[in-house]
Amino acid sequence: MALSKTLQYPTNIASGNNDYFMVGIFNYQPPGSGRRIGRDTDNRVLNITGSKGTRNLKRSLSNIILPMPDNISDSNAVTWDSDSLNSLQLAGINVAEDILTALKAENANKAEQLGKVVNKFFTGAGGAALDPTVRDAVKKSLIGEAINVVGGNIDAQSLISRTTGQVLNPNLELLFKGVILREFNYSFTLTPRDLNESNQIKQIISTLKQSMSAKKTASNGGGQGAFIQAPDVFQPVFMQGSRAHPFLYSIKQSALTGMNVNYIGTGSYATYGDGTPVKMQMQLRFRELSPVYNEDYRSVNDGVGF
Amino acid sequence: MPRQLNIEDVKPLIGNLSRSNYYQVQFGGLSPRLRGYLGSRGVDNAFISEDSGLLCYSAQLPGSSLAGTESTNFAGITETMAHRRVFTSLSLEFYCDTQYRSLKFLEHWMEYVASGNGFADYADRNYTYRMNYPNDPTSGYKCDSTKIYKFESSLERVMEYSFLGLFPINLSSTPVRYGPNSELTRVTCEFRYDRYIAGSILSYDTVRGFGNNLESGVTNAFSDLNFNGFTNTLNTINRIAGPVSDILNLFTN
Repeated sequence: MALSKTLQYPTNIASGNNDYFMVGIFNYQPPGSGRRIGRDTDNRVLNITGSKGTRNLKRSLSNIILPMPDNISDSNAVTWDSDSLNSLQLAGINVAEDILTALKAENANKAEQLGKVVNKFFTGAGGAALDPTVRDAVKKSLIGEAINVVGGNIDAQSLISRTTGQVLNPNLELLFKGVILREFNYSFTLTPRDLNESNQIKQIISTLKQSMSAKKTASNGGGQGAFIQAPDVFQPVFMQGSRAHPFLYSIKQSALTGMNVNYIGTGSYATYGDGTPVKMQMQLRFRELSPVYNEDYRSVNDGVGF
Repeated sequence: MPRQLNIEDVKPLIGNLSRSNYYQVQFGGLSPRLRGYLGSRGVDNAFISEDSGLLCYSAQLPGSSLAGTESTNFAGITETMAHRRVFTSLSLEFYCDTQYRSLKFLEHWMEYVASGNGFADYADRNYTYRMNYPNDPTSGYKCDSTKIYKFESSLERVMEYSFLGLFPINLSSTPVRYGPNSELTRVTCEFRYDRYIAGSILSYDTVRGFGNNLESGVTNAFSDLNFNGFTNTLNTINRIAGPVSDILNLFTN
């Protein structure tokens, strides 16, 4: 079924300076289409793909206009987690670096170089290891690890704590781990007031269901049956009159990952003469295609941003 | 500091208080199919738009409230901010004429609301009710032009209330009993509506500056040599009053 261009419920809600919720529907464009995967248009590696959240979408397949949802909230988050690195691990990293340097060195006796590295580790060129207490702790730690190799179950930290009453400084810090994708849940109450609104609601539900479904037929031809194509993607936006809402947040292009419709919003089955339910409740769950980055806010003029 | 007043100071104000018994209810804006439905049951257009209102012996000027949300950002103080206007339902009481048109008007209006399934096999045990659409331009059950006018015996000013999306939601049981011969049958019905507007919503009145209780119309009227503004007010009053003989005929039946 071909998608209708613009569907609207309630009638004329997009007129005047009314606030409303609009969802544009677009064909999905893979982030790597037209270039080598993992590279940007200038063939640079490790570029942040789609950092602006736009994927050069073509004209919308359909626009759906709905009233403001019953619940409007956003939740922005990034992943941070605690992480520790004690002095032994830090020293180990330094040794590994030195080993790599020694192995890469040309015109040198590699065995001699490696010996210097090990000697440096034990004599404590870093300064702290010169302290007899630290040297003793290091020794105990290594003993513990050696016993573990042959099947023991000794915690190096416990061994140090038992013998010295101290533990290695874990240098605990909260470290940035990555970004996450935002998810939005919206609920709409649909109560058609006349036959026209009933038809619009019917088409809105049908269009959303169709567009969020995967496609069996690949548009680029070939391989039919071997692949299924991604569903359409959506651009939700809060509107006021003909412009974006001056206060509420912006949403990046999103996938519609879930849709629930309750056709008995009245609590018991009740319809109009043509069978249209008197009250329905529709819940949409969108998930953005790309994370929100600091730079995204440069393009936001009004509102609270993303 | 209180102001010292004598009787002459307060007479213009206290002597011109509004009386509650000058009002008129006027139903209007019913969809063509609803009018036809009622007409086929003996409730004609004239009864709907004029007589039903005259038989309304008790009404209320509508009220509304503001839903508030509270903020306690300042210690020890609760601020309240309005976030929604809430319209209360309207209760009207009618005398019932000997043709039972008041009863039929309300009874069949409510019946129409739930008559979306048609009336074939209406009495069948397996008949189910389906609703009619509320706002369909040809068959909706809500009306947008029902008005309550409040005025005084001098007919100088009219306070007009227009109801949008009005329909009956609760027709109370009508008490009948053996008793004195003079007791009249009374019908009570509660109406719901989407909202009301105080002041005229007629485009003509809006253009003249009388819409929404604006006083600019009065200024316009005085500046008009023909005093059309006042004529307009009188026209409105005449429109709602109707000939006295019609009223007498109605109440003697």
